[in-house]
Amino acid sequence: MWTMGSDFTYENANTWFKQIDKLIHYVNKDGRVNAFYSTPSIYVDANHAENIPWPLKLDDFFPYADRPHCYWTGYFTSRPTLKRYVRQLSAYLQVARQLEFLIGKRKVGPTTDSLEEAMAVVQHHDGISGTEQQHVADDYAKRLALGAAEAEELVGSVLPILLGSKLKARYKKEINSEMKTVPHVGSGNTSRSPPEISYSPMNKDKLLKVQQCALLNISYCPPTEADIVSGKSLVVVAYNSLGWAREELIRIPVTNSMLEVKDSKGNVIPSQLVPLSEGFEKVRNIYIGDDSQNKHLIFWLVFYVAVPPFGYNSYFVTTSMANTPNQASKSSVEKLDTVGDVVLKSRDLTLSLSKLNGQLMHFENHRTKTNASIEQSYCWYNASDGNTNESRLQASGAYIFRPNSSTCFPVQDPNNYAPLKVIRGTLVDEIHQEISPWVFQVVRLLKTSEHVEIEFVVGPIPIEDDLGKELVTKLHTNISSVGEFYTDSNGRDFVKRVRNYRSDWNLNVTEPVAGNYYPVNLGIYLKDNEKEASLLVDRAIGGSSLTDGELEVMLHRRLLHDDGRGVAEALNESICISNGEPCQGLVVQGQFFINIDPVGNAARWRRTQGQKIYSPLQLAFAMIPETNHSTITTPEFSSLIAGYELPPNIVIITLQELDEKNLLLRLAHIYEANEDAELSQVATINLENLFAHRKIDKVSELSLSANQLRSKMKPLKWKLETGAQMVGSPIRGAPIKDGQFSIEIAPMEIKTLSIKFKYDN
Amino acid sequence: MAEGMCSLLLLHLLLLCVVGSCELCHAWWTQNYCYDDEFCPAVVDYDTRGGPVAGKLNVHLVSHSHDDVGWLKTVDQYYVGSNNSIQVAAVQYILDSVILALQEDPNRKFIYVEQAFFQRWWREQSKHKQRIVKRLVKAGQLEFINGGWCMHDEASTHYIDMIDQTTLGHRYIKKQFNKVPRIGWQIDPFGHSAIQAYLLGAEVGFDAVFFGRADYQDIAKRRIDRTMEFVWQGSRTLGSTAQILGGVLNNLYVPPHGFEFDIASADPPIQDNPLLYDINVQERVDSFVKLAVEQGKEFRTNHIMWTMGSDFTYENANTWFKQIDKLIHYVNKDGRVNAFYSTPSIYVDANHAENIPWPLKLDDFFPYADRPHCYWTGYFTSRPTLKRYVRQLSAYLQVARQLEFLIGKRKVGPTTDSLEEAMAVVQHHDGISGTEQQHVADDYAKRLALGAAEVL
Repeated sequence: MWTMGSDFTYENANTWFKQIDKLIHYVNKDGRVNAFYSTPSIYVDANHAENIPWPLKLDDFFPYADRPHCYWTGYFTSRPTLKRYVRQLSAYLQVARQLEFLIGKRKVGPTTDSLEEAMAVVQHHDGISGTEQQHVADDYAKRLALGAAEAEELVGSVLPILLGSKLKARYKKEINSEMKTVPHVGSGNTSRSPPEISYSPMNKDKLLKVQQCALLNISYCPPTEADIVSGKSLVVVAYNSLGWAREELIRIPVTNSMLEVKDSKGNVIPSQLVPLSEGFEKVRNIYIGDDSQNKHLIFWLVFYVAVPPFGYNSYFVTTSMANTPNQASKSSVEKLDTVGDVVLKSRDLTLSLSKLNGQLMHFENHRTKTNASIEQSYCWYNASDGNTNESRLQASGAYIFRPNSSTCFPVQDPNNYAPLKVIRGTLVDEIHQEISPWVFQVVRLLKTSEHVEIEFVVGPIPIEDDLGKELVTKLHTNISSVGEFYTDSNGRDFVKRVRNYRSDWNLNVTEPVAGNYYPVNLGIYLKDNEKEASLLVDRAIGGSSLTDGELEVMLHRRLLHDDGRGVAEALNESICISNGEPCQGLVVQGQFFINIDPVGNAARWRRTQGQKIYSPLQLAFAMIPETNHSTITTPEFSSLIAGYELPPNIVIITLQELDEKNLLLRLAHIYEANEDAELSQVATINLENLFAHRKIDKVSELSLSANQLRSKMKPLKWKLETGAQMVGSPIRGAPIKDGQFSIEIAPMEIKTLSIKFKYDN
Repeated sequence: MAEGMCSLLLLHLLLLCVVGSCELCHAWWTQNYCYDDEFCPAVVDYDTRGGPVAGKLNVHLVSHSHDDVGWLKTVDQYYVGSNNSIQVAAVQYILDSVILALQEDPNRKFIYVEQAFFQRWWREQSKHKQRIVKRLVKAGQLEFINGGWCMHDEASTHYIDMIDQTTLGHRYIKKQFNKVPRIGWQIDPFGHSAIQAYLLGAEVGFDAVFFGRADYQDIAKRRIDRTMEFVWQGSRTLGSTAQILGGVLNNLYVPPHGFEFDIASADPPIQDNPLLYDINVQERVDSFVKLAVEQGKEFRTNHIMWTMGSDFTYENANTWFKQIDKLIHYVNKDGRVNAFYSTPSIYVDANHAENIPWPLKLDDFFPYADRPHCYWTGYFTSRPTLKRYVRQLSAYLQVARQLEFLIGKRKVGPTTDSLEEAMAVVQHHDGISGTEQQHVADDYAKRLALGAAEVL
């Protein structure tokens, strides 16, 4: 096969076709070889017809190097905030689609289409990869923001309808008048799907007005920061897009310090006020401006919410009398800068940290009897400027990661540690650290948690020394991983990686650091015979294990040279907030999660926690009179039948109304074969359990991209070379039977289903 | 049928726009029909009709490609598109794509000048394609302008060679299309001779001759005096019996700033798709009108000409025509000026119909300076041996032709045709002028030598 084209060619197709016409004519006239216009399909059919055996390839083709010293592993981390924005909106799109489905996709008004399209655009290999020019990255972000704004409008219009509805498992057609704001013209099809949730017709302005906070990640949320005056109640609606019931700690910024939180049944629940860390204050000030003089002090109000699967629950925050026992408890704050240990404890976990530099030292899980020494630190690689003897002029850039040595320079000044702040409370303990003027972190331990949560604020990466820097965090453990570690494939399967080794050829190691970097979307882990250490991420980043027992992930990079692969810009992201003020290097906020488990137990945490990281509870807010809750008649809701939740190995990955009466549903098994003794099994789901408010008429199983019946897929079969063996014996869930609504899903399977519902008329 | 449905839908849209807000009707439109291309708000039926309108400033949009018969590449390299590392230029594709683009809309027009290239292309075309081209010529969509083998130099050419090379081109056009070019188009030569005006202009039967290059001081004054166009009497002897309308083009021979639409152009295309970012229709129309009005002040009638092309442009004619279609559509919708596809002949006829008096120009336009200290007078002598070789072969060609005539031109065996064609090629304004690259000068010499060898 000859690929007769290149980037943006054929703008004048004639120049190609006229010449290829001549080539075919004269080459075939010559007769030594045979040339013709073809397509990859024709080529594959021709190859298939040869009926020869083919070699076997397992796993993947990461990392990529196009020549010595030139590993395209920088882009795993390039533009980390765009990568996070995309990940965040990916989950938000699923939420918006679910709500859109619940109410019935509307002909007018906001839809998820713009966000879907913006998300589709940014998946491009010069989009989310971070290898586009700055103005193009800005354009992607703009598209995402516009799509997200429309989806937000949709979510904001659906939640009040659900909250104000009288939900019953009714199937009666009831077209609501509020939604028909514009006459429906032109389609010629007057039968439209009814709103699936019936609710008492009420005046539109009697519906709740809810707000959402896209900038919660930097602690900015005007509706929760508003003064909660006596007689008013701040409603917090937490939506759970997963099919599992969840009990999780949520955090909202507030300015009142005398607050209490009630659940939807009116019971007061424990809550805690946690001060903002310096890192948060810093990043908040950059974007929101320094509001310290005209605002009250901002705290995080944290409390546990219990949200049913594929549904929501509401919580009510009000002011409280002074010193009532129900009041949100204050955290104790302690500043430490002396040698010794700090101990944080949850129900099952004990963490020790060095008082001196705040580094984690010891991890002990009493329930699982896991003990490990552990050390987490930040350091940076000095990005090559290309001034080298070998592969001269190859600098580190948007695509290429090329440190100028394997040395990772510590971020923390060994002679000048900033004092630790230890925050303790009833629900959560935190350690706030300023590791350097440009790296802040919070080590967080929830009282019910068995893992460590680390939140970081990094940047602007200093470049006054004219050195490009690539910031990593390293997690050192005493696990003897003998060169092996695991990284995920696009957030799904885990692939075994072996340091300085490739299974397909004898590797000539030219870049001991960059050549061992792999993409990380879900997490990275390593293990020995006893323990596994896992690190889960909140966005796509690059990671590796360069010494046994040690994991590292790259969090941010700021580079001063182009790497000569086409983008023609140095990856030096800066932010310019307002006119006249100097631009500064980009600041990145994010989280990662650390756990150490006994071997065999870790997958369960990685899979469950990973899913929760991907699909955080989506919060919406409203201020209502404390006594009159007439706008909230259904404070808690699940789309599933009462008491049902999906098994822990199954998640809804798509729930999208494609067109009238047609739902696209994807259910995914999130375990690989042999990953977990109990959960790596075939699961059976009765689809009727998922739709308490509808009756299923028909289910068909489709190909993954939903463009054909699964049963019609007839991919070509290929012979394998002798000696090439597939490992294991794959198990597949049985195809869905006609007229049945129960489906089998085997490990790592994704079932794509088209569901038609019944309607009473 | 589609048109009917379209207007029905438009009616609906209109209705919606009356009862609801425009955002709403756009949202409705987008959601309902945008997956069927036909019904997208992005689908516009561009109105490219039109011609001169009395009482308005008429902008004649003349699509053209200026194709040097040798300069940085040899004539054949230019035709084929080889040696593109020196200059991206391929005349074969220009003619291929222009013909296709003209077929797409009968309102589109294009002028073609250099017969050295056109004849190379014509000889490669099927009978079917030739019929299409003849139809386009007959309909006035494709018009031959100047029509010589090349756009000859005017400083170092001998008048006999100028006549010869013009005759060669004109003979083919007459034979193949039964057409007689009406306009001289010496847009690039670096100074203009009296002979060009009265002999290769008036005596050829041209109604006008246009050129791009005149002394910068001269042009500055002409703009103020509105003497960019004039009656040119090149011969003191023949005077008004051999006069022609002469015209200095407004902007060399390229479009006004911002309206160059070739494939690699940096000028902004018209973005009128409401589904995409950065709509610029109003800005583009405003800019168009502003430039037209400015130019209108410097010319005598309500007609001005925009040369929509440049060196070796239209290799992908679609990039031009698609944008000019939109310009015509939106500029005329705006209504402040009137724009349409035109040719120099249409422009000259429109000017002539105004029946106004013109200033007189005598003599010639030598020497040429494009800015202070920059006189294009070196080329009068550049490559003196090539210049001598041409002069020598000019005389020799006449001798050979006489002998050929005496014995009767033969169907087989050597003829004067090769030398005639080589001589016609080298008259080019980057040929005998000496302003071509060395390898191109070598190529000219080779062609001359081969032609001469056949004649020997």
